[in-house]
Amino acid sequence: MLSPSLGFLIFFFLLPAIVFFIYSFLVSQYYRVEWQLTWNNYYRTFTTPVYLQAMLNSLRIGLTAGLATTLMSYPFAYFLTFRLKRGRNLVLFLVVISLLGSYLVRVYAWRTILGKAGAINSFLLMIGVIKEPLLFLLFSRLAVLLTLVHVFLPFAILPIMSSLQNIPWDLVEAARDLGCNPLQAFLKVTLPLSITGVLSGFGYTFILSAADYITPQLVGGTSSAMIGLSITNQFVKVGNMGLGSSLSFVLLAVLVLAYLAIRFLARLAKLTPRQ
Amino acid sequence: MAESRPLGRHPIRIPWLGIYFVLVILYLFFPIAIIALFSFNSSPAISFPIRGLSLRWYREILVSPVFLSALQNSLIVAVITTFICFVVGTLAALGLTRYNFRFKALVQSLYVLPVTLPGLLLGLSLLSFFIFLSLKLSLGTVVIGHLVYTLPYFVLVATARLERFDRMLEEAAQDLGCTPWQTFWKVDFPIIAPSIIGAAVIVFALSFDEFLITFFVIGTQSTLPMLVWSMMRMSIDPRVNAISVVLMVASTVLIYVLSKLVDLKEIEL
Repeated sequence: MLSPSLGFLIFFFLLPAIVFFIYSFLVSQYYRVEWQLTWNNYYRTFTTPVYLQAMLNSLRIGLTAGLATTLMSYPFAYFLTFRLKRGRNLVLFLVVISLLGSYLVRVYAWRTILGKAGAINSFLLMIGVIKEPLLFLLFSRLAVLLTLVHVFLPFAILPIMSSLQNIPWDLVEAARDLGCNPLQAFLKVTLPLSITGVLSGFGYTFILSAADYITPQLVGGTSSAMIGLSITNQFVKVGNMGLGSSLSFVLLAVLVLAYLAIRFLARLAKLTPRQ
Repeated sequence: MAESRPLGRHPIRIPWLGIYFVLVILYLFFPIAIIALFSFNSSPAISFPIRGLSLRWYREILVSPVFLSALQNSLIVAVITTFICFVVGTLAALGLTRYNFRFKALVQSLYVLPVTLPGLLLGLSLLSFFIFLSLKLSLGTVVIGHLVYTLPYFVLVATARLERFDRMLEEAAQDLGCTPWQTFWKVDFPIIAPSIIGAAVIVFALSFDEFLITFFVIGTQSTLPMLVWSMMRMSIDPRVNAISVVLMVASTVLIYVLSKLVDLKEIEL
């Protein structure tokens, strides 16, 4: 019963990943690869300042966006799970719409809103708050963060919400009976029991943000150049697929290591419950 | 558990949490509302003040052959992707929950990995592979690209549901004289149907809206998100707003259907 799907994944996921990886060791130009082994792609990846800077930007923007998204999502998910009495299904409906729909449209929306003649500037000009359009809104790191957090919020809200829902409320009650005040009960029971949701929400938003190649193109400026765009250009504009591949695998390694480091820190801080 | 919770000692009360909650919802929907508003603007500018409302941009896209063919392509890709997911994915979910075999953990990880990887890497690895095979890019390669992450997603959702399924019901049916096929159609299927149909609806929505992978594996044809991309790159084109609204309405309708089939609380990533 498994064979059709397993065959598909082996042929169109595993095999392509292997080919993609092999490309990073091959000489390539003009959209073609030659079967000639080289370390040059990795050498260039680690020695070209533009790529190192873009990699660093991606890491920094990804971590900031992931952290901001997770921190924003927790109180939201908490309120949605425990405090909202009416309209919970409606809000959930709205969150799921933003999760599954219109990724590109939402990035595009921020471009039109923040632009020189966009909704914010024209509105402020119309009501007379400003005389000249604000140019720092678009093509900045702030615009990239604003967009990424907006687009990926549901990816943190839903896992956090699902882990909050599964908390046996008796445990929180027990903590209160044993003399904890509400804040202590939250820190000692609720938070550790929902940390899996927090970590997976952070993981998703961090990885998705750091590897996004559309947002930096549409709303980012030169100071917020991210590695996803450099990688895309190697495949789409430059035609050096070997370099594009080595950049991709270094990015992947950076993402995995950063995520593992965060999990390790969470364990050091004794946030994760002992098994 | 939710019912047994006494109201008085509930979670920590933070004043302003309600206001914060509303602000986040506004943040999530303000950009979309702006796009929807300007899609009805009679002037081509995407800026205030709005001088008049009209359906002009919608009329223009409805007679535009480029829009109609992109819509058609998006629908074709989404229908084929969903159909394959439904058949192949249901089989896989049944197989994974019912049988134990060697390397099961390894096999399962193959169903998790594509969902957690960014679209950029999935798209590029497929592109490399298609170049390696000298395969011509087409809507067919787009379907493959969509399946690479919707199929594992479908299997994960369906498996989660099947694992909670009470196997005693099957035994009861068989004790009462059902053949295995009868058991499947009369007991298993009615119970799992809403969630696998729900998963199929999600797959349709994901495929209809997919951009990050499509961008790399599409040939000369276009899908709706690709059309939005090419139009907004060229200039300020108010028709993009109308197309965006079409895309958003489509996903809203799909999620509405989904909410009738499954509890949205159970949506997993």
